[in-house]
Amino acid sequence: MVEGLGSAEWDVAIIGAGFGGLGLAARLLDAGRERFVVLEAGQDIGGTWRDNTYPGAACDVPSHLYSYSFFPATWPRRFAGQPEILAYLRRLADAYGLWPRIRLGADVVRLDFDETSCTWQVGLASGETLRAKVVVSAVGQLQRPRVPALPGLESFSGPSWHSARWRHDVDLRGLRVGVVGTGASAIQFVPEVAKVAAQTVVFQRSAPYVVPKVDRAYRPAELALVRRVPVLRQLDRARVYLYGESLGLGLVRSRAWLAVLTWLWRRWMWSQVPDPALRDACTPDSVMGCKRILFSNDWYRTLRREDVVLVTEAVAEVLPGGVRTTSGREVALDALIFGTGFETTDFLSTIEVSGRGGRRLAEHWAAGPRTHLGLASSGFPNLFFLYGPNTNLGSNSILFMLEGQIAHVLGALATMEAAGLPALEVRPEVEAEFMAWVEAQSRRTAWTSGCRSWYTTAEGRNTHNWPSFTFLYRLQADRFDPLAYRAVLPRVPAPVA
Amino acid sequence: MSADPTSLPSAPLALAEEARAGARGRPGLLAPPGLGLGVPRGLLRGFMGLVGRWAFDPAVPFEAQRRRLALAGRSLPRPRGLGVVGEVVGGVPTERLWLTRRRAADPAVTLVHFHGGGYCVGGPFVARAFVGHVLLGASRPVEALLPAYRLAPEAPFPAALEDALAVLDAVAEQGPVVVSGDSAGAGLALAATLARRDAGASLPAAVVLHCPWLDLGADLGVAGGGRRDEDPALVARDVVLSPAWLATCAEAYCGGRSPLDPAVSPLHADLRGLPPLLVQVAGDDLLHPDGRRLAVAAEQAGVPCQLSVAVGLWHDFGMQAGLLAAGTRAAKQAAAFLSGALMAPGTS
Repeated sequence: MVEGLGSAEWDVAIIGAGFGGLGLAARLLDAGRERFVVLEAGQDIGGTWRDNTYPGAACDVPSHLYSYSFFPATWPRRFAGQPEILAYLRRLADAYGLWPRIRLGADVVRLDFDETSCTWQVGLASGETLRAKVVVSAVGQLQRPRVPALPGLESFSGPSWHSARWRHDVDLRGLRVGVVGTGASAIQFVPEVAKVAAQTVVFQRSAPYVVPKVDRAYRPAELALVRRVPVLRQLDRARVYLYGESLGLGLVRSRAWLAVLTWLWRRWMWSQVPDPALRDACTPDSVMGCKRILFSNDWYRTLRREDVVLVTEAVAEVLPGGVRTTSGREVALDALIFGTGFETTDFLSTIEVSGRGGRRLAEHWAAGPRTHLGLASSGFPNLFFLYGPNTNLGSNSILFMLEGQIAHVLGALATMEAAGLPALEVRPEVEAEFMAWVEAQSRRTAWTSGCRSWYTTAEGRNTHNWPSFTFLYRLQADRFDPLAYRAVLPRVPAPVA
Repeated sequence: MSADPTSLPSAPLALAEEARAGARGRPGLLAPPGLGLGVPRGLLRGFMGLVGRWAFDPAVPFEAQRRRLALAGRSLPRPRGLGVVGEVVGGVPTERLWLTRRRAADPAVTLVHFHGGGYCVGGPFVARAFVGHVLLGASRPVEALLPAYRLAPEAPFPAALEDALAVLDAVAEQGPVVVSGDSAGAGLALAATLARRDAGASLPAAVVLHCPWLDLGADLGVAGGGRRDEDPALVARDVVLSPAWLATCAEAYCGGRSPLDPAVSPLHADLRGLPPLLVQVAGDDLLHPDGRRLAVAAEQAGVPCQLSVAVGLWHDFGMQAGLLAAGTRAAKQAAAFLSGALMAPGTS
């Protein structure tokens, strides 16, 4: 039975209806737990895959792995595009009957732990307050678009937008289009933009490593075969997983293996780019993997086009009819697109979280997030994070990590039920030990090799990535360890002496 | 700040912990901390079930039970580099445990651990592995004393408590003291700490109670709490203990004294003024209600108390530290708790 969404009392409140939130909701139903609500700030589900609708938007992990193991799907091609991934999430919501359990437009702004009842008070932007025993944040890491504060930006006479807020109403045909940034989004939309625009000018701060994406549509016979023999999908999933882990080996451990991968990349790039000057411009100045490795077959080919210009200077100023670069060069433009990524270092910063004893999460995390396995933070009982700090990957599917995190949350619920406890909180020494391990382990990874990237804080601390093999994460996250947690009992008001 | 009974260890502790772990750092280790190695849990559970039923058999005399438990207990692996020597402390035969590579360090903290065994069986050997892993996990040098207190039925209450107090008196002047115990030993540890409080003597900086046995009234059917066998599902889940064995032990220890006497069943005591407590209970343990009731009572009395419930584990699982990953983690948890309490202001 579905409770009325107006209810103010829940066992579990999930913040966010993206991949994480919907996956957890589905698994809760599988486990027979119905008293939960999904609170979504936006007006639709899908999270990242709802927001990023730019032309060419696609996943750079093959879809057989970038999908939940408990909800397999038939994919039209190896790397599904944004529309297919969003459709997959909608099918997931349909199949599990999640829609009546999702509150759209419910923007969580406050979380306060009430010690006398051991519940969270969930404050919405509307002023409404709900209560939940357990709160799971599934807000993701890449949600708030970051647009650089360029002088004169508001004076630009043409349209300008961020890639995650694509202006589908603007017809780019025949326009001179400027693109700021060469990150994961730009690499995908620039080839599409270049196909229609009169001229495309790409402003690059630092060159990315772009490696080929072995992508193609599946043939009808292949699709029929996979439908007949579903184990083939599992085998492909395993193959892609092992490929990702081998890339991960280079990122987290073996510099020699990374050197081999870099050599393979260089050989491919040179075959794509004959012009020595462009080769120089396309050669990154950092170690491979320090910044996100990007997958595209047509990036270098696009840069070779007659109507595409790669500018390796930063934009200094926006003029009404174009931009001026740091060297004073003026470029006339009709439209300006920002592929400049997201605010990433401030996890959960849009929600004011106050835990046990009034402890504020922003203070606890002042020097960077502190968690156990990216899942829980000491002082904040019954608050869990999906795709939290130090669980991003440079080389494999986030959904593989999410499934472990979902299992962990289900384990916590089962433990509380079995032990008859109202709340569990991760032990501070367990958190400290995990953080020390992350710190020590990250020292040998490519991410802390000295580049500036969204993986690390300004001081170079790795706050985003999992610094080891992903199966080692799953081994620990899947099985909820009650000894890593302490019980939190309801506070009794102090006795009057 | 100190009035908050659930207050978190302060930030300096967390940072010190981190610095320590970092300094010890094994950057070569790809496996995250907490992925401990050990005998598969199900296998050990089966083995413990056999040992428990065989050693804690109320149908055989205590003498035979002691021999059986000694045989099983001596097969437990001990951490490497652990020194063990017998000595007499306060007139009580006691085992001293220390880490050999830390012997020469500055004045150590003394941990007094009381072993379990229903006040009737067992000896320091029961807890060697657990205490050894506590010493390994502590952030400052600790030496442990495991008193071989007198056992019932030959020496019923208050013999064990007298021995416990004699040992605590003897070490009180030697520097900071922390106290722990498992099973009946945890009850003894709490009773002895309460007795020192009543006498106005110095208190340990912290007390760790692993699977404590705190209410003998529940075993002897005396009103004042639940009955030990009231939950048949729990009786079935507990592979180590049986209500019948607990009852024979409780009767032997009480020796005519009421099991509701707080000195026998410290759950019935007024807990005010106690040092911070860490209570570790196991989900599949007949005694787990005792630890949980203590945590609630401590909360009401304003005593800082941390409760840890190990779901799916059996009575005294921490004693298999080194063999069982969860047991090692329980010892590590105790070590972190004791280290944190020793770092708090007011103790040195």
